[in-house]
Amino acid sequence: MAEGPAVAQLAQDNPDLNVLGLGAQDSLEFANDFVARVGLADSDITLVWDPSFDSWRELGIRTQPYWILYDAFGNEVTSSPGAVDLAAVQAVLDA
Amino acid sequence: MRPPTRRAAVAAFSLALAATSCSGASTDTVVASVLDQAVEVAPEAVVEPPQTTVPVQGSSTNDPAADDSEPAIAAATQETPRPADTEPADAAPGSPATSPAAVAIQLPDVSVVDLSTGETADLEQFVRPGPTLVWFWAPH
Repeated sequence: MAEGPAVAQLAQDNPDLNVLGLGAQDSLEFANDFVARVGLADSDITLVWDPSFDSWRELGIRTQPYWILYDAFGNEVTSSPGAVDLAAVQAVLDA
Repeated sequence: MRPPTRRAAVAAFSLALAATSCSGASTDTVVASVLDQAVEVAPEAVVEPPQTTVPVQGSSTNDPAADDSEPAIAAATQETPRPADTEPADAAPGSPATSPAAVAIQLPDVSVVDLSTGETADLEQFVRPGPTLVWFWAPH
């Protein structure tokens, strides 16, 4: 998972940005292994795992990695699969 | 010898008789004209009620005005939610309830595992106010 360290760095560099890592698929054991292996355990990302996959289903997430950016008012600004759009994040933080 | 006024009266009476005799010959005409007038008057009388009802309708147009006021009320009720909708925006600068710091994103109501503790909790408990990036990942 190449995006993991990049997202962790993004969270570290932007303490005003809440970064919620919502994992799913596979198993809890795999999820914990992934977090340890990629070095996310001590990151500023709030890491949770959804064993039911319902959160992804309700949000229409069909591929991963995927991200959704919300502004300070709770409005969805943008979303996309793949790498996080750092410019979009910065625009939200500057708003 | 008759006095002048009597002569005049007699003359007038004669003329009246002559007119009566003429009108007797043209009684139908006179009656017809009278009937025409009556007929003409009657429709006017018939028309007038509607005309009089127009003002009544005018007053009833107050009812449409009332109808107009009903949409106005409806519009007001429609506008009522607007201030409610605008309340957060109006109150946003000063009200902590609507300030960006108090607004949280809406996520599905599901139970997730907190990987930092291993405990299960509602996903919404991990939502914080402020700009948020939700990153969806899978362990593979």
